[in-house]
Formats: sequence, structure tokens, C-alpha cells
Amino acid sequence: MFRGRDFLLRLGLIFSILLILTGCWDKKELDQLAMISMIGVDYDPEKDQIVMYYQVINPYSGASALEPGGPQSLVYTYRIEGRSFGEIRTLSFEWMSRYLFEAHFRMLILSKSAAKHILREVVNSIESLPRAKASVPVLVAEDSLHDIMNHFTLLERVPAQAIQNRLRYLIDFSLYVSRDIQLRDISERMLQDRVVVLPMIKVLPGKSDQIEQRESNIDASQDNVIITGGAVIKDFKMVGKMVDSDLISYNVLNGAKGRHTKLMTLNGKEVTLTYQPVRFKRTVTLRNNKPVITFHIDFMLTAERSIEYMPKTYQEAIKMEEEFDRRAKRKEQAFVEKYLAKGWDVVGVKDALKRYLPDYPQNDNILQEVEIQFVNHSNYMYPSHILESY
Amino acid sequence: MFRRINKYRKWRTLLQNVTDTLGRPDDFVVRTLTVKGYQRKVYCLYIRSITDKTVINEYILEPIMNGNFEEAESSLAQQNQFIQEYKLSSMYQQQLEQLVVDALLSSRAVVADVEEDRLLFFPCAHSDHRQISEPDSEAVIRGPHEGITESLETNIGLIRKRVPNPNVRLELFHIGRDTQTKVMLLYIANITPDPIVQEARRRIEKIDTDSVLESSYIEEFIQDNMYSVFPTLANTEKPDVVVARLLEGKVAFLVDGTPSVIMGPMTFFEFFSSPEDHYERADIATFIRFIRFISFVIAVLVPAIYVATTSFHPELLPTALVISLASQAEGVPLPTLAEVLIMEIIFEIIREAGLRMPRAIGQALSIVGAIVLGQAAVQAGLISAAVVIVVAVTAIANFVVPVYGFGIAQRLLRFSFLLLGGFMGLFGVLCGLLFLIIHLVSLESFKVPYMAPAVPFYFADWKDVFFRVPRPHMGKQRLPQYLLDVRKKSR
Repeated sequence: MFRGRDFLLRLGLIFSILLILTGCWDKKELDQLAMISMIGVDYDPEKDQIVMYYQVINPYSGASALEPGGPQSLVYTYRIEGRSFGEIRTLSFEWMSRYLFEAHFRMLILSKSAAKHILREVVNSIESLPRAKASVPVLVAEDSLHDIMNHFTLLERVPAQAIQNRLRYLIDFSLYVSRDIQLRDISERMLQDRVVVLPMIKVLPGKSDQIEQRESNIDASQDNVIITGGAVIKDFKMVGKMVDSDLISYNVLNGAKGRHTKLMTLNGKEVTLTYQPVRFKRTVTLRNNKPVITFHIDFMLTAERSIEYMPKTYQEAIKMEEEFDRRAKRKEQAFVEKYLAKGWDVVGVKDALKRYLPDYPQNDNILQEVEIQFVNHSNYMYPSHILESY
Repeated sequence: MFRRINKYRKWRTLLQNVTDTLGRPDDFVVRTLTVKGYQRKVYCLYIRSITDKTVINEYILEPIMNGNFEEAESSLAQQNQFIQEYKLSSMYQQQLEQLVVDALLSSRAVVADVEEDRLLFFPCAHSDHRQISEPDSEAVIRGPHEGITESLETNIGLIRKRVPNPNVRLELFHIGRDTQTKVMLLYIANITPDPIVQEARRRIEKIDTDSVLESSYIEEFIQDNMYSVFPTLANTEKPDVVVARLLEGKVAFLVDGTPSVIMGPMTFFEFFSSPEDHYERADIATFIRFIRFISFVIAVLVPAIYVATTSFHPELLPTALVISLASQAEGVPLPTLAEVLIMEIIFEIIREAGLRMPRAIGQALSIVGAIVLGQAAVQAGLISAAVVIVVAVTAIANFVVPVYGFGIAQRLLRFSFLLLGGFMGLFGVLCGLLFLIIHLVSLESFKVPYMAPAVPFYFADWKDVFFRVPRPHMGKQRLPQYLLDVRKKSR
């Protein structure tokens, strides 16, 4: 290799070339950035105006930061209106003194109007941002987006964090929310001609509009945001809503692995049962030249949250499993019939046929032509944490 | 032009010239003694300040005056040049003068028996030197606490007592035109490969310098690449470390007047292992080695990565962390690079000041430094707390590596990477790392690849480089593979 002065000269030359390639001009100090935690998109079809809400984290609210002028809000929501997303980005400098930095945004909330009219544009504009993540969950506002974007959340002070945590727990412990609610899932599902169901969010009405009073209100059932119901998106458009009970079937039939606890009446006896899909398989066959899709779903049943002391015997457990399987099948059948009749491919029929029967001709009536079967098998695994209730 | 003259006249001239050459110093002593019963004069010359008065009085002057002075050295001892004898008449005047001056300056007493035509040189260096103590820079919890001193003889004794092996070889060199400093090349003949010894000898003999006041003087001459920040030779103040390295087939250089021994060849990864690792259990020693590797990465890269990520790539940081860092950065008037750079420089200033100051004040200084830099600067909003943490963690990590010289390399690299990260982000840091790897694999120590056993790949050596397996599993062959290769090639 090179030695001594020769080496230093070469090193110096290479570093000089590096300096030409990049440099300080790419630099953005942290105090020059407006760190977005949540983005809201609304659309006014009459004026053809897009309204963007940027919820920006206030750096002065951090634990170690100085707080000039006393305590401040943890986030600030900027509302910027424009005719295109690019235009709004330029207009943002009229409102804020920092560079919009979207690398850390955690949540995208759409108004119903935006979900109905400009979802494709929203997905494209956000995916085109160099630093934005396609893994952010997307929600649809049930009522006013403005209220949600300007609403404090409880326990977690940053609203995006609070909503993100709630989604995580809802996915794992309720089966009301699917994992496939991220920005990239929308584009993927739309390409597969499937629907995607996004969680809906709304603000519960409260007594006061004053932030201070809201914060000091101990009653969390007022002035709080709540995630409930689902917005059905088809071909980049919101086409309808799904209630919570249907969301469970939707998630189970789309391979979710969360758990749900519900008080059920099985064989005439009430029991609080926790069920969790543990195995999901979809098979496609041809019967009399008609496609048949069979969903094989294994459930794990537990009575861990039960205080009914049920089932008491092995025979009771077997009966309970059989009854649960029948119930689940009925529910799934009803769910599929209801939504396929509307033309919403909620269980990925077209995708399954494309994958397993690629030669089968697909037409507009394919959702009606296909036969769907369910094979459920549940296993009662363990009883309640207490041996015998008092 | 030289001619033989009467021996008394020759002696007087010699004495006169030697006195003149030395500049008639106050500590130059010329004693004229009359030997009892012989009625003839014997002269004794020495420099008082560098010789042991007791030795001269008891072993030279008294026997001469009592007439029982006998030259009792065996011929073997004379070969060792403990006592040197010359004939006054057999040498040219100028040559003789030079010999006498050199002998006097190297703490010898010169006894001239003019009548018998003899000139005897006795070593009489006084043995005043620092007591053997534990070196401050290499304190250990378990293991010998003895440290190398400034006395070459003492140091050789400390090493010899640990390895009573007849194959231990000592080769003495006098380096420095003005200082004629004694430099001892030390190795174990049946362990160290010959080419390494020959190379060490060649490099020592090639040194052309006016003076050697410390071992680092010769280190710069004998190291393979003087432009690299990485040391290719190790130094230590502990005799047990020297012995351990000698047993691994390395050579050691002892310099008179220096309480530090240079050893080589050394490879990059050997700087992370310390012979003290063998004083501890194998599991904890292996764990500590990994901690040292991690510390190296922290010491070199953490400030650069901090600056690069916060200034260029905040998207790489977790959201909670970036919010916390952003809140700290608020109100700080300086860009992150300037913050870190200033803090690093201030830390280096405090460290340098702490080294020079008396110990008591040094402690106070470190408290002031910690309070002023750590707390006051953060409270005043001049520096963000994260920067203080980064600089502190880096500074602590820098001290983990067992060899001080390697720590210096880390410090220099840290600043280079900091600038790269500050100007070019992670792209710059990555480019710097690539250059560093290229540089490291091109380095050699005594013609041995510096990155062994990683490049070239010697898996057998991993057992005592990356890991420290229990000694019974080490095998009989303790020589590293790269030295075995050197030995194989020489055959």
C-alpha cells in the first residue's frame, strides 16, 4: 500500500472529493424541525379544497427542556388549507417557523369526506414523501376531524401515542381492529381488489370546551376520543361502515390472531369465554365447476376471565366446544352473505381465486358465484384462574 | 603524527587533556595515592556526582592505600567488561583520552598505575534509584504490583526472577551520539523466531540520533509506520506483562532511565487483551475483552454517530428519543457539531491539565470540570444534557483499553470521525470506517500483519485474542500463528 506522505495526499484528495458530494447543506438541526406526530386530512368537495392538520410536537414540553413562559401544550395542531398537497406544504411556512419533518409521524386520520373522495391522492402524496413511513396506521374520523385533531388524550399526553397504544391493545385483545390498517395495506389491498376496514375514531361529547376544565375532569367517559366501528374502503373510497360485532368476523376471516372475551349463552348456560384463532387456513377447490373456498379456523377457548364456574366437567367442555363451533360458523356465514351481497370482497375471494385457481374466469358476479364454507374447530384449553367461584 | 613518549609524561598530558575535555568540572575528582610499601603513586579519577563514593572508598581506594589491592576478576568477568584494563603505552594518546572520558561519563572510576603501565576502569555507578512501586497507569486488583523502575539493572532483575530460563537473551546497545543511552534488547532465544530478533536488532542498530531520553525516542525509530495513529508496539510498566509478552514470542526493549518497556510485534487485537486477563477466571476475562471491543467502538464512534444522526438523519432515531433530544436542543445556541467539538476539546484540556497538576489540585480540578461542564453548562442552556452524556461516556470508554498508547489513537480517531459525521453525516462516518479498515489491514508490526488473527484469518489464535479460554484448553503451543508463520518461512 501507500506510505507516508503519499498516503496522506491520497487521503486528502479523497476527502476533498467527498466534500463535493455532500456537506453541511444537507444538515437540519433538531431545533429547525417541526416534528409531526399526527396528520389529519379533510376534504371539502364543494370548494375542492384539501385541509391538512399537522399535529406537531412542542419540543419545549420535554422533561429536560426549559419552559419559557410556563407550562405549554405538548402538541400544536396546525390547520393548512390548499388545493393540492404540494401547495399545502409550501403554505405551511406561512404558519410555522420550522421545516415539516414527517419521519416520526405515527398516525394518519382521515375525515369521512377525505376517505370517500381523495384517499388515493392521500396515499400517493404520503408515500412520495422521502422520509415518511408507509407503516403508519390510518383511521377514519366518525364525526369532526377538527375536533379529533384538537383534542387532548388522557394518560398518554401525545395524542398519536395514545391512539397508537389503544390500537395495539385492540388488535391483541379485542379482534375489533385488524393489523392490516397501515398506509401500505391500503394500497396493497386495493391492488388485490379487496376491501380494507380501517378503524373509526370519534370524540365523545363533554361538558366543557375549555382545555383546562377538560384536563381537570376526572370522568374519562366525557371529552375523550374513542375508537369504534370500521370504515370499509374499496377501490380507494370509503363505501360504508362496519359495526364492532361484524369487525370480529372480518378479522377472524382475515387471519387475525388476537383474542376476544365475550359472555355467551352456550347450551343454555352463561359463560364468559375468551376465544382466539390459533390456526387459519384457506383452501380453494372446484365443485361442479364452481369454486369453493373453505376457511379452516382453529380456536383456542379459555375461561380465564370467567367467574361462572363453567364448564365443570369434561363432557360439558366438549359440548361447549361443539356449540361454540356451530355459533361461530353461523356468524361467519351471516357475515359473508351480508357483505358479499353488497359486492365487498371482505374475505379476499378474488385474491384466493387468483392465487389458487388462476385459470378460473373472473367476472363481476364472482362474489355471488363462489361457495364459501367454514370448518371451525375449537379446543377448550384451560379453565378460570379460580377453581371454584364463591 | 602520533609518537610514543615516556609513560609518565604521557599520563600527565592525558590527565591534562581529559580535564580540559570535561571542562574542569567541580565534581571531577583526581586522587593521587601512595601504595604502602611500594613508594609509587597510583591515580584514581572519577566524577563524584555519578559514582558511588562508598564503592570507590571501600573497594578501590582503601585496598590500594593498604597495599592489598589485587585484581581479582577472572578472565570471564573481564570478557563481560566489568573491569576493563588497558596498557598506557600500547595505545595512542587520543584514543586513550577518549576511552577515559567515556569511562568517566559512564560512572566508572579510572585507576592509573603508571609504573605498572596499567589503566583500570571500575564500574562505580551509585545505585540511587526509585524504589520498586506499583505503576499508577497500570494498577491491578489481582496480580503482581511491582513496577518497572528507571534502573536498567533492576528491571532486568525483575524480569529474570520471573523467568529463570537460560534462553533469556540480553543484547546491549548504546544509542544516542550524545547520551550513549543503554538500550537492552530482550528475548527468549528458543521461543522468539529468529527473523523477529534479527529485525529488532537491525532496527536498533539503524537508529541514528543524538539522544535517547525516554523509550519513546527509540519507539519512533523502530516502529513500522510512523504516520499511523495506531501503535504497532506496546509499552508497559509491569515486569509480569513483559514476561508474558516474551513468552508469547515477542521481543522487549528496555531503555536505561525509562520506567517503561517497549514490546513488539503487536497486532491490533492484542491491544485489547492484557496479560492480567490470565489472573482472572476465563469467563469474566472473555466478557471483559468484549467490553473492551465495545468500548473501542464507543470511544471512536459515539460522538460522530450522535452528531450525524441528530444533524442529518433524525429519522433513524426512535421517536421517543428524538423528542427527548429535540427538547434538550431547544435554546442551545450552538449547532450539535460545535457543541460536541467544544465539549471534547474542553475535556481534553481538563485531562491535560489534570495530568500536569499536583494530585490534590488535580482532584479539585476534576470536580470543578464536572460541575462546570456537566451541570452549569446545561443549566445555562449552553450545552444540551445529551452532549454531556455523550462526551462523558466516550471519555470513560477511552480508558478501558489496557494500553495507554492505543487510547491516544482512539482520541485522535474520535476527532476525525466527529468532523466526518458533522460535515457529511453517516455517509462520512461510513467512508471514514472504510478508510480505517483499509489502513488497518495495510499496517504491519515487525513485518507481521497488524490485523491478525482476523486478517489473515487464524482461527486457532482466537482462543486467546477474542476469547480467553481456560488455560488447560489453550494447548501447549502458546506462540501466535503469525509468529509460527514467521518461523516457518525462515526455515
